[in-house]
Amino acid sequence: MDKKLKLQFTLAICLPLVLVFSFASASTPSADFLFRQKTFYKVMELSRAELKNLNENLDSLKTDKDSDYAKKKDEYLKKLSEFEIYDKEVEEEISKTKTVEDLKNLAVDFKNWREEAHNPQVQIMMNFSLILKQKEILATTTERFEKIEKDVKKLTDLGLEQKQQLNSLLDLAKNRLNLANDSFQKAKTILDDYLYATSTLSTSTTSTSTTSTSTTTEKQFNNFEFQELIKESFEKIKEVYEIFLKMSGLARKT
Amino acid sequence: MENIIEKLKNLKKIEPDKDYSQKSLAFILNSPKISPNKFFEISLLWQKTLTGLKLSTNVAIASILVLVIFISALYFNSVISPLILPGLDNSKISAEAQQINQSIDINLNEINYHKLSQEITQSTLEKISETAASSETIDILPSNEEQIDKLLEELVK
Repeated sequence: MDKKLKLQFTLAICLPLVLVFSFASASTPSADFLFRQKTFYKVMELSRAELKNLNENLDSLKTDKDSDYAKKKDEYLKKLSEFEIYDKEVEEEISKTKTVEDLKNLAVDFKNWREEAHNPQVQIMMNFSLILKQKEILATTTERFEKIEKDVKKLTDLGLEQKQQLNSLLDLAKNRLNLANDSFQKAKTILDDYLYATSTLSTSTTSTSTTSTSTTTEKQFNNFEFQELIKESFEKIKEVYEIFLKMSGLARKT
Repeated sequence: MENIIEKLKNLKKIEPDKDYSQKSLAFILNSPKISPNKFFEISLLWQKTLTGLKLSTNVAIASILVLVIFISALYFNSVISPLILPGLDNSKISAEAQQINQSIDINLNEINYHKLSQEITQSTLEKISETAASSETIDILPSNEEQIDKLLEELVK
Protein backbone atom coordinates (compact mmCIF):
# COMPACT_ATOMS: atom_id res chain seq x y z
CA MET A 1 0.00 0.00 0.00
CA ASP A 2 2.88 2.28 0.86
CA LYS A 3 4.56 1.45 -2.39
CA LYS A 4 1.38 2.24 -4.29
CA LEU A 5 1.05 5.52 -2.49
CA LYS A 6 4.67 6.34 -3.18
CA LEU A 7 4.20 5.63 -6.85
CA GLN A 8 1.07 7.71 -7.01
CA PHE A 9 2.86 10.52 -5.20
CA THR A 10 5.81 10.36 -7.56
CA LEU A 11 3.56 10.32 -10.58
CA ALA A 12 1.54 13.21 -9.25
CA ILE A 13 4.68 15.32 -8.98
CA CYS A 14 6.65 14.14 -11.99
CA LEU A 15 3.93 13.98 -14.59
CA PRO A 16 3.07 17.66 -14.47
CA LEU A 17 6.78 18.45 -14.48
CA VAL A 18 7.39 16.28 -17.51
CA LEU A 19 4.41 17.86 -19.24
CA VAL A 20 5.59 21.36 -18.41
CA PHE A 21 9.11 20.66 -19.69
CA SER A 22 7.92 19.01 -22.87
CA PHE A 23 5.52 21.88 -23.54
CA ALA A 24 8.24 24.40 -22.88
CA SER A 25 10.66 22.68 -25.22
CA ALA A 26 7.98 22.47 -27.91
CA SER A 27 7.02 26.14 -27.70
CA THR A 28 10.58 27.50 -27.45
CA PRO A 29 12.19 27.44 -30.90
CA SER A 30 15.40 25.50 -31.06
CA ALA A 31 18.72 27.20 -31.72
CA ASP A 32 18.89 25.40 -35.04
CA PHE A 33 15.50 26.80 -36.06
CA LEU A 34 16.43 30.33 -35.03
CA PHE A 35 19.73 30.07 -36.84
CA ARG A 36 18.13 28.94 -40.08
CA GLN A 37 15.35 31.52 -39.81
CA LYS A 38 17.80 34.36 -39.22
CA THR A 39 19.86 33.32 -42.24
CA PHE A 40 16.72 32.99 -44.34
CA TYR A 41 15.81 36.59 -43.44
CA LYS A 42 19.29 37.66 -44.56
CA VAL A 43 18.74 35.95 -47.89
CA MET A 44 15.47 37.80 -48.28
CA GLU A 45 17.16 41.07 -47.43
CA LEU A 46 19.73 40.43 -50.15
CA SER A 47 17.04 39.47 -52.62
CA ARG A 48 15.09 42.64 -51.86
CA ALA A 49 18.20 44.82 -52.26
CA GLU A 50 19.01 43.06 -55.52
CA LEU A 51 15.55 43.77 -56.91
CA LYS A 52 15.63 47.40 -55.79
CA ASN A 53 18.99 47.88 -57.48
CA LEU A 54 17.78 46.31 -60.70
CA ASN A 55 14.59 48.34 -60.62
CA GLU A 56 16.55 51.60 -60.35
CA ASN A 57 18.86 50.40 -63.07
CA LEU A 58 16.04 49.62 -65.52
CA ASP A 59 14.13 52.76 -64.65
CA SER A 60 17.10 54.95 -65.59
CA LEU A 61 17.43 53.43 -69.07
CA LYS A 62 16.68 55.68 -72.02
CA THR A 63 14.48 54.13 -74.68
CA ASP A 64 12.74 55.56 -77.71
CA LYS A 65 9.06 56.10 -77.04
CA ASP A 66 6.81 53.23 -78.21
CA SER A 67 9.83 51.22 -79.38
CA ASP A 68 10.09 47.46 -78.76
CA TYR A 69 12.74 48.14 -76.13
CA ALA A 70 10.48 50.67 -74.36
CA LYS A 71 7.77 48.02 -74.19
CA LYS A 72 10.26 45.47 -72.90
CA LYS A 73 11.42 47.91 -70.25
CA ASP A 74 7.84 48.38 -69.00
CA GLU A 75 7.34 44.63 -69.07
CA TYR A 76 10.46 44.05 -66.97
CA LEU A 77 9.56 46.72 -64.44
CA LYS A 78 6.19 45.06 -64.02
CA LYS A 79 7.87 41.69 -63.62
CA LEU A 80 10.15 43.09 -60.93
CA SER A 81 7.13 44.34 -59.00
CA GLU A 82 5.74 40.81 -59.13
CA PHE A 83 9.04 39.46 -57.83
CA GLU A 84 8.96 41.98 -54.98
CA ILE A 85 5.44 40.89 -54.04
CA TYR A 86 6.50 37.26 -54.07
CA ASP A 87 9.51 38.05 -51.88
CA LYS A 88 7.24 39.77 -49.36
CA GLU A 89 4.96 36.76 -49.29
CA VAL A 90 7.92 34.48 -48.61
CA GLU A 91 9.07 36.75 -45.80
CA GLU A 92 5.63 36.52 -44.24
CA GLU A 93 5.78 32.76 -44.56
CA ILE A 94 9.14 32.70 -42.79
CA SER A 95 7.68 34.59 -39.85
CA LYS A 96 4.82 32.08 -39.65
CA THR A 97 6.99 28.95 -39.68
CA LYS A 98 7.13 27.04 -36.44
CA THR A 99 9.41 24.14 -37.19
CA VAL A 100 12.73 23.53 -38.86
CA GLU A 101 10.94 21.29 -41.32
CA ASP A 102 8.65 24.15 -42.40
CA LEU A 103 11.67 26.38 -42.92
CA LYS A 104 13.47 23.74 -44.94
CA ASN A 105 10.47 23.27 -47.21
CA LEU A 106 10.08 27.01 -47.68
CA ALA A 107 13.78 27.35 -48.48
CA VAL A 108 13.54 24.58 -51.08
CA ASP A 109 10.51 26.24 -52.69
CA PHE A 110 12.18 29.63 -52.75
CA LYS A 111 15.42 28.19 -54.13
CA ASN A 112 13.56 26.37 -56.90
CA TRP A 113 11.57 29.46 -57.78
CA ARG A 114 14.74 31.52 -58.00
CA GLU A 115 16.45 28.93 -60.19
CA GLU A 116 13.53 28.50 -62.55
CA ALA A 117 11.89 31.94 -62.74
CA HIS A 118 13.83 34.64 -60.94
CA ASN A 119 17.45 34.10 -61.95
CA PRO A 120 16.99 33.59 -65.71
CA GLN A 121 14.73 36.63 -65.99
CA VAL A 122 16.92 38.82 -63.83
CA GLN A 123 19.83 37.78 -66.01
CA ILE A 124 17.99 38.85 -69.15
CA MET A 125 17.02 42.16 -67.54
CA MET A 126 20.66 42.77 -66.63
CA ASN A 127 21.73 42.05 -70.20
CA PHE A 128 18.95 44.24 -71.57
CA SER A 129 20.25 47.07 -69.39
CA LEU A 130 23.83 46.44 -70.54
CA ILE A 131 22.83 46.68 -74.20
CA LEU A 132 21.06 50.00 -73.74
CA LYS A 133 23.90 51.45 -71.69
CA GLN A 134 26.51 50.36 -74.19
CA LYS A 135 24.38 51.81 -77.00
CA GLU A 136 24.56 55.19 -75.26
CA ILE A 137 28.31 54.89 -74.66
CA LEU A 138 28.88 54.03 -78.32
CA ALA A 139 26.81 57.02 -79.45
CA THR A 140 28.86 59.39 -77.27
CA THR A 141 32.14 57.88 -78.49
CA THR A 142 31.08 58.07 -82.15
CA GLU A 143 30.08 61.71 -81.71
CA ARG A 144 33.49 62.50 -80.19
CA PHE A 145 35.24 60.58 -83.00
CA GLU A 146 33.42 62.64 -85.65
CA LYS A 147 34.40 65.91 -83.96
CA ILE A 148 38.03 64.81 -83.73
CA GLU A 149 37.99 63.68 -87.36
CA LYS A 150 36.96 67.21 -88.41
CA ASP A 151 39.72 68.74 -86.28
CA VAL A 152 42.33 66.41 -87.71
CA LYS A 153 41.23 67.38 -91.22
CA LYS A 154 41.67 71.05 -90.34
CA LEU A 155 45.16 70.41 -88.99
CA THR A 156 46.06 68.28 -92.02
CA ASP A 157 44.98 71.09 -94.35
CA LEU A 158 47.26 73.43 -92.48
CA GLY A 159 50.10 70.99 -93.20
CA LEU A 160 51.19 70.64 -89.63
CA GLU A 161 54.15 68.55 -88.60
CA GLN A 162 52.07 66.10 -86.52
CA LYS A 163 49.49 65.48 -89.26
CA GLN A 164 50.82 62.01 -90.09
CA GLN A 165 50.87 60.90 -86.48
CA LEU A 166 47.41 62.32 -85.87
CA ASN A 167 46.00 60.59 -88.94
CA SER A 168 47.44 57.23 -88.00
CA LEU A 169 46.03 57.59 -84.48
CA LEU A 170 42.68 58.52 -85.98
CA ASP A 171 42.77 55.33 -88.08
CA LEU A 172 43.60 53.32 -84.99
CA ALA A 173 40.72 54.91 -83.05
CA LYS A 174 38.37 54.16 -85.95
CA ASN A 175 39.50 50.55 -85.97
CA ARG A 176 38.91 50.15 -82.21
CA LEU A 177 35.55 51.89 -82.46
CA ASN A 178 34.51 49.52 -85.26
CA LEU A 179 35.57 46.53 -83.15
CA ALA A 180 33.57 47.86 -80.20
CA ASN A 181 30.59 48.31 -82.47
CA ASP A 182 30.97 44.80 -83.95
CA SER A 183 31.04 43.16 -80.51
CA PHE A 184 28.05 45.25 -79.45
CA GLN A 185 26.06 44.29 -82.56
CA LYS A 186 26.82 40.58 -82.02
CA ALA A 187 25.70 40.81 -78.39
CA LYS A 188 22.57 42.71 -79.41
CA THR A 189 21.73 40.05 -81.99
CA ILE A 190 22.02 37.33 -79.33
CA LEU A 191 19.71 39.27 -77.03
CA ASP A 192 17.24 40.28 -79.75
CA ASP A 193 17.05 36.69 -81.02
CA TYR A 194 16.22 35.54 -77.52
CA LEU A 195 13.72 38.33 -76.85
CA TYR A 196 12.04 37.85 -80.21
CA ALA A 197 11.87 34.06 -79.81
CA THR A 198 10.49 34.24 -76.27
CA SER A 199 7.93 36.90 -77.15
CA THR A 200 6.78 34.76 -80.10
CA LEU A 201 6.57 31.76 -77.81
CA SER A 202 4.67 33.82 -75.25
CA THR A 203 2.12 34.83 -77.85
CA SER A 204 1.66 31.29 -79.10
CA THR A 205 1.37 29.80 -75.63
CA THR A 206 -1.12 32.45 -74.55
CA SER A 207 -3.31 31.69 -77.55
CA THR A 208 -3.31 28.00 -76.75
CA SER A 209 -4.02 28.76 -73.09
CA THR A 210 -0.93 27.04 -71.76
CA THR A 211 1.08 28.43 -68.90
CA SER A 212 3.47 31.15 -69.94
CA THR A 213 5.99 30.27 -67.23
CA SER A 214 7.46 27.63 -69.50
CA THR A 215 8.36 30.24 -72.13
CA THR A 216 11.40 31.49 -70.27
CA THR A 217 13.02 28.10 -70.31
CA GLU A 218 12.06 27.30 -73.92
CA LYS A 219 14.97 29.10 -75.52
CA GLN A 220 18.40 28.90 -73.98
CA PHE A 221 20.26 32.16 -73.71
CA ASN A 222 24.01 32.07 -74.13
CA ASN A 223 24.81 34.31 -71.23
CA PHE A 224 28.54 33.69 -71.22
CA GLU A 225 28.97 34.57 -74.90
CA PHE A 226 26.77 37.65 -74.55
CA GLN A 227 28.64 39.04 -71.55
CA GLU A 228 32.04 38.33 -73.08
CA LEU A 229 31.02 40.33 -76.16
CA ILE A 230 29.78 43.23 -74.05
CA LYS A 231 32.97 43.21 -71.98
CA GLU A 232 34.99 43.20 -75.23
CA SER A 233 33.02 46.18 -76.48
CA PHE A 234 33.62 48.02 -73.19
CA GLU A 235 37.35 47.37 -73.36
CA LYS A 236 37.59 48.66 -76.94
CA ILE A 237 35.80 51.86 -75.96
CA LYS A 238 38.32 52.40 -73.18
CA GLU A 239 41.11 51.97 -75.74
CA VAL A 240 39.43 54.48 -78.08
CA TYR A 241 39.44 57.12 -75.35
CA GLU A 242 43.08 56.45 -74.56
CA ILE A 243 43.83 57.17 -78.25
CA PHE A 244 41.68 60.33 -78.16
CA LEU A 245 43.66 61.60 -75.19
CA LYS A 246 46.95 60.91 -76.99
CA MET A 247 45.68 62.82 -80.03
CA SER A 248 44.59 65.73 -77.87
CA GLY A 249 48.07 65.86 -76.33
CA LEU A 250 49.63 65.94 -79.78
CA ALA A 251 47.29 68.68 -80.96
CA ARG A 252 48.23 70.81 -77.98
CA LYS A 253 51.86 70.69 -79.05
CA THR A 254 51.00 72.34 -82.42
CA MET B 1 19.41 169.19 -76.34
CA GLU B 2 22.91 170.03 -77.46
CA ASN B 3 24.00 169.30 -73.98
CA ILE B 4 22.76 165.73 -74.19
CA ILE B 5 24.48 165.10 -77.53
CA GLU B 6 27.66 166.42 -76.03
CA LYS B 7 27.34 164.04 -73.11
CA LEU B 8 26.77 161.07 -75.40
CA LYS B 9 29.86 161.87 -77.42
CA ASN B 10 31.83 161.95 -74.19
CA LEU B 11 30.65 158.42 -73.36
CA LYS B 12 32.70 157.09 -76.33
CA LYS B 13 35.79 158.07 -74.47
CA ILE B 14 35.09 155.78 -71.52
CA GLU B 15 37.90 153.19 -71.07
CA PRO B 16 38.58 150.51 -68.48
CA ASP B 17 41.07 151.04 -65.78
CA LYS B 18 44.54 150.39 -67.24
CA ASP B 19 45.61 148.12 -64.42
CA TYR B 20 42.42 146.07 -64.67
CA SER B 21 42.73 145.62 -68.45
CA GLN B 22 46.36 144.47 -68.16
CA LYS B 23 45.48 141.92 -65.48
CA SER B 24 42.55 140.62 -67.47
CA LEU B 25 44.66 140.22 -70.60
CA ALA B 26 47.36 138.38 -68.68
CA PHE B 27 44.74 136.04 -67.11
CA ILE B 28 43.14 135.20 -70.47
CA LEU B 29 46.49 134.55 -72.14
CA ASN B 30 47.78 132.35 -69.32
CA SER B 31 44.65 130.22 -68.84
CA PRO B 32 44.95 126.64 -70.44
CA LYS B 33 43.39 126.12 -73.82
CA ILE B 34 40.27 123.91 -73.79
CA SER B 35 40.74 121.09 -76.35
CA PRO B 36 37.78 120.69 -78.68
CA ASN B 37 35.77 117.46 -78.50
CA LYS B 38 37.42 115.38 -81.20
CA PHE B 39 34.77 112.72 -81.32
CA PHE B 40 32.10 115.37 -81.73
CA GLU B 41 34.13 116.95 -84.45
CA ILE B 42 34.64 113.66 -86.31
CA SER B 43 30.99 112.69 -86.04
CA LEU B 44 30.04 116.14 -87.25
CA LEU B 45 32.46 115.80 -90.16
CA TRP B 46 31.13 112.28 -90.93
CA GLN B 47 27.58 113.53 -90.80
CA LYS B 48 28.47 116.43 -93.11
CA THR B 49 30.29 114.05 -95.47
CA LEU B 50 27.43 111.57 -95.62
CA THR B 51 24.78 114.15 -96.16
CA GLY B 52 26.98 115.82 -98.69
CA LEU B 53 27.57 112.59 -100.62
CA LYS B 54 25.35 111.24 -103.34
CA LEU B 55 23.35 108.01 -103.02
CA SER B 56 25.66 106.14 -105.39
CA THR B 57 28.65 107.00 -103.24
CA ASN B 58 26.85 105.78 -100.13
CA VAL B 59 26.06 102.48 -101.86
CA ALA B 60 29.71 102.13 -102.84
CA ILE B 61 30.86 102.65 -99.24
CA ALA B 62 28.33 100.10 -97.95
CA SER B 63 29.55 97.58 -100.57
CA ILE B 64 33.12 98.08 -99.47
CA LEU B 65 32.13 97.51 -95.86
CA VAL B 66 30.31 94.27 -96.77
CA LEU B 67 33.34 93.14 -98.73
CA VAL B 68 35.64 93.83 -95.78
CA ILE B 69 33.35 91.79 -93.48
CA PHE B 70 33.26 88.93 -96.02
CA ILE B 71 37.04 88.87 -96.40
CA SER B 72 37.43 88.93 -92.60
CA ALA B 73 35.10 85.93 -92.32
CA LEU B 74 37.10 84.05 -94.94
CA TYR B 75 40.30 84.90 -93.16
CA PHE B 76 38.85 83.72 -89.85
CA ASN B 77 37.69 80.48 -91.46
CA SER B 78 40.99 79.73 -93.13
CA VAL B 79 43.52 81.02 -90.65
CA ILE B 80 42.01 81.36 -87.18
CA SER B 81 39.29 78.69 -87.25
CA PRO B 82 41.72 75.74 -87.78
CA LEU B 83 43.35 76.73 -84.53
CA ILE B 84 40.05 76.28 -82.68
CA LEU B 85 39.74 72.51 -82.14
CA PRO B 86 36.57 71.66 -80.19
CA GLY B 87 36.92 67.94 -80.90
CA LEU B 88 40.45 67.69 -79.54
CA ASP B 89 39.72 69.78 -76.43
CA ASN B 90 41.72 67.97 -73.77
CA SER B 91 39.53 68.91 -70.81
CA LYS B 92 36.37 67.77 -72.61
CA ILE B 93 37.92 64.45 -73.70
CA SER B 94 39.28 63.82 -70.20
CA ALA B 95 35.89 64.50 -68.59
CA GLU B 96 34.11 62.32 -71.14
CA ALA B 97 36.65 59.50 -70.77
CA GLN B 98 36.32 59.61 -67.00
CA GLN B 99 32.54 59.47 -67.19
CA ILE B 100 32.57 56.59 -69.68
CA ASN B 101 35.19 54.62 -67.75
CA GLN B 102 33.15 55.05 -64.60
CA SER B 103 29.99 53.88 -66.33
CA ILE B 104 31.81 50.85 -67.81
CA ASP B 105 33.28 49.91 -64.42
CA ILE B 106 29.84 50.16 -62.78
CA ASN B 107 28.39 47.90 -65.47
CA LEU B 108 31.20 45.36 -65.10
CA ASN B 109 30.79 45.41 -61.31
CA GLU B 110 27.08 44.84 -61.66
CA ILE B 111 27.64 41.80 -63.85
CA ASN B 112 29.96 40.33 -61.20
CA TYR B 113 27.74 41.43 -58.34
CA HIS B 114 24.61 39.72 -59.63
CA LYS B 115 26.54 36.57 -60.44
CA LEU B 116 27.99 36.42 -56.94
CA SER B 117 24.72 37.35 -55.30
CA GLN B 118 22.89 34.53 -57.09
CA GLU B 119 25.58 32.02 -56.15
CA ILE B 120 25.55 33.01 -52.48
CA THR B 121 21.75 33.06 -52.28
CA GLN B 122 21.53 29.60 -53.83
CA SER B 123 24.18 28.09 -51.59
CA THR B 124 22.67 29.68 -48.45
CA LEU B 125 19.22 28.38 -49.32
CA GLU B 126 20.73 24.95 -49.84
CA LYS B 127 22.29 25.09 -46.39
CA ILE B 128 19.02 26.22 -44.80
CA SER B 129 17.15 23.34 -46.43
CA GLU B 130 19.71 20.70 -45.44
CA THR B 131 18.06 17.80 -43.69
CA ALA B 132 20.16 17.76 -40.55
CA ALA B 133 21.60 20.59 -38.53
CA SER B 134 25.14 19.33 -38.90
CA SER B 135 28.14 21.07 -37.44
CA GLU B 136 29.09 21.88 -41.02
CA THR B 137 25.85 23.80 -41.51
CA ILE B 138 26.43 25.71 -38.33
CA ASP B 139 29.94 26.60 -39.54
CA ILE B 140 29.01 27.57 -43.06
CA LEU B 141 25.88 29.63 -42.49
CA PRO B 142 27.65 32.47 -40.65
CA SER B 143 30.15 32.78 -43.48
CA ASN B 144 27.24 32.94 -45.91
CA GLU B 145 25.71 35.64 -43.78
CA GLU B 146 28.93 37.58 -43.86
CA GLN B 147 29.01 37.31 -47.62
CA ILE B 148 25.43 38.53 -47.80
CA ASP B 149 26.30 41.46 -45.55
CA LYS B 150 29.26 42.31 -47.76
CA LEU B 151 27.08 42.22 -50.85
CA LEU B 152 24.48 44.39 -49.15
CA GLU B 153 27.18 46.88 -48.20
CA GLU B 154 28.39 46.97 -51.79
CA LEU B 155 24.89 47.76 -52.96
CA VAL B 156 24.58 50.67 -50.53
CA LYS B 157 27.94 52.17 -51.67
